[in-house]
Amino acid sequence: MSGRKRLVVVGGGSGGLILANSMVRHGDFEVTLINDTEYHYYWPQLLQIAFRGDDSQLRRSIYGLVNRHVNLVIDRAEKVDLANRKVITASGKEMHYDYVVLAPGLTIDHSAIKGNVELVQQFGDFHSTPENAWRVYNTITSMRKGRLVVAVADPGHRCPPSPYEGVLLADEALRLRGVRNDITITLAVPYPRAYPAETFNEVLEPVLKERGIEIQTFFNLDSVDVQAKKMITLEGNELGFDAAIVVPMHRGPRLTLLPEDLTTDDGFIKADKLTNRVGDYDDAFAIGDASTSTSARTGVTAHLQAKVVEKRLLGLDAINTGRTHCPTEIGFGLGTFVISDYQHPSVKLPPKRVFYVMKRFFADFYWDVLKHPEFWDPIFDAYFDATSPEALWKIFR
Amino acid sequence: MGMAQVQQAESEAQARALERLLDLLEAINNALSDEELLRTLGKLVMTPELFLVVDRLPQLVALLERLTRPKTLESLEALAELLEQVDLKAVAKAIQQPPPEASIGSLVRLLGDRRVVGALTALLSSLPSLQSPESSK
Ligand SMILES: Cc1cc2nc3c(=O)[nH]c(=O)nc-3n(C[C@H](O)[C@H](O)[C@H](O)COP(=O)(O)OP(=O)(O)OC[C@H]3O[C@@H](n4cnc5c(N)ncnc54)[C@H](O)[C@@H]3O)c2cc1C
Repeated sequence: MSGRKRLVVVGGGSGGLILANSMVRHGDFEVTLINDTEYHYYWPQLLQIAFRGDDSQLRRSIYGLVNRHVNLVIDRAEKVDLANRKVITASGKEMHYDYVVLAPGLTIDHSAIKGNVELVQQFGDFHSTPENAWRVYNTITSMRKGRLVVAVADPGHRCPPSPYEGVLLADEALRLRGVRNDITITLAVPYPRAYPAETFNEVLEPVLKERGIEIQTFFNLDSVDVQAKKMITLEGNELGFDAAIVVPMHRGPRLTLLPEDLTTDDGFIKADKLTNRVGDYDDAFAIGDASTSTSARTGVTAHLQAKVVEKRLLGLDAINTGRTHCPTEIGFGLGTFVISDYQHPSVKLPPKRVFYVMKRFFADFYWDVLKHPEFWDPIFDAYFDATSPEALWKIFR
Repeated sequence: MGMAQVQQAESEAQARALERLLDLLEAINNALSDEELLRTLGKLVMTPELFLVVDRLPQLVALLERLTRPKTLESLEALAELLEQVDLKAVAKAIQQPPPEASIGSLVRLLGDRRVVGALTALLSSLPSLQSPESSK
């Protein structure tokens, strides 16, 4: 026995990989990371595939991203038994732990909306797989006229501004192709306004209007009739389309958690908003998209939660502030950020070229951030401090 | 620690440093091959304002240097303190009123006001520190 504490991290995505690479620096932890593929995916790239045909940053081999002192296991965690402190994998391995951190992300359920499986086959989407994002690219590069609809079916989808980025990048691509005048773009959302958060809506709605994007509010998608080319809402209203993309229903991870009452009906892991602790288990945490503790399903949130859990594993009393920091691309070289926390609504940050540059920088340095948290931690601490919602609200009223 | 262990620790540290360097180079390479980023950076950076700033850089640096001298900072602080005491509403009211007839008497009264004397002293004492080295010779 080495006397070191055994930490098992399930899922090597944005949250799990940063946590494993951070914890392994503290010598008294023996860190095992279980990931079900040999790759780490950078999901924001789905937008770049769908609207720019660029998959250069989509994925990297996880072997090159993980600190070599982390014990990397490529396998699928099938069951996590909190009472008996063990993880059972698809290949039959049983791993006992002193601490477990669950970061397996989420799953996409196309079938939850009737007709959506067929629709995705035809036009694709940009929230599930690279293949589906390429289908969107085919749609965008071949469409000549008619109506393109992007409909949000699940308000809890990954990256809150992503559907808006989608329609604005579609607008950019269609303008560059010279066919925009013959194509109507409609964004259909279940909210009372274009963007759910009122303050950020003040930033985004004028942009959408200026770019000629139609907005349908209170749109509660029920089903899609692919043959008749129409969407039908719960209230029975219809919206016709020539091409359509649905931001699909999201579900919890493919993982059985025991005791079962610690997952929601949708399969998300119930975890505390402030500490990420799962139920009453002091030795179990859930971070990122898989957990209910998340204020927004973003990589930045998963990252910040990993940092809180790191500190808690070291015995410090850290808590989440609910900080969001979502880079939002609006096309034509402009961008903004959705920045908020539990205490402050989203800041009204006007679109600027410099914010777009920052978004690209983040993306290009993403892999280095995952692998070398010790280098980036102080930089991010200073950056997040300087861009706190409290400070920004004083400037952008 | 034995000799062999020291050597092993050293070579581990070297390997780590090399790996870090390679990863950083990879990240920089990533950014440099990001055409979107470079295009936008180009647009962001090549503005007329930027050329103006670059053109004036030597003077701006000299000005900054002068502005941050301790003596200047002290004078500016004194000025700021005085400004805080000024009754802005009264000033605004005074501006709106028609100018009074200038008289030697009113000027003497004005110069005798404690706050005016304070402000003038602070202003005068800040002037030499704002001068460039050449002009103060
Ligand atoms: C279109 C789009 C745009 C986005 N834009 C942004 C953005 O600009 N900024 C931002 O911050 N976020 C953005 N996001 C969101 C971001 O990608 C996610 O929030 C983030 O990846 C969540 O990290 P995670 O670690 O929780 O999950 P993931 O990154 O999804 O990682 C989960 C990992 O667990 C593995 N796994 C799953 N199940 C198991 C199992 N049973 N056993 C073992 N391993 C398992 C998976 O293979 C995966 O490697 C975007 C997402 C999308 C779809």
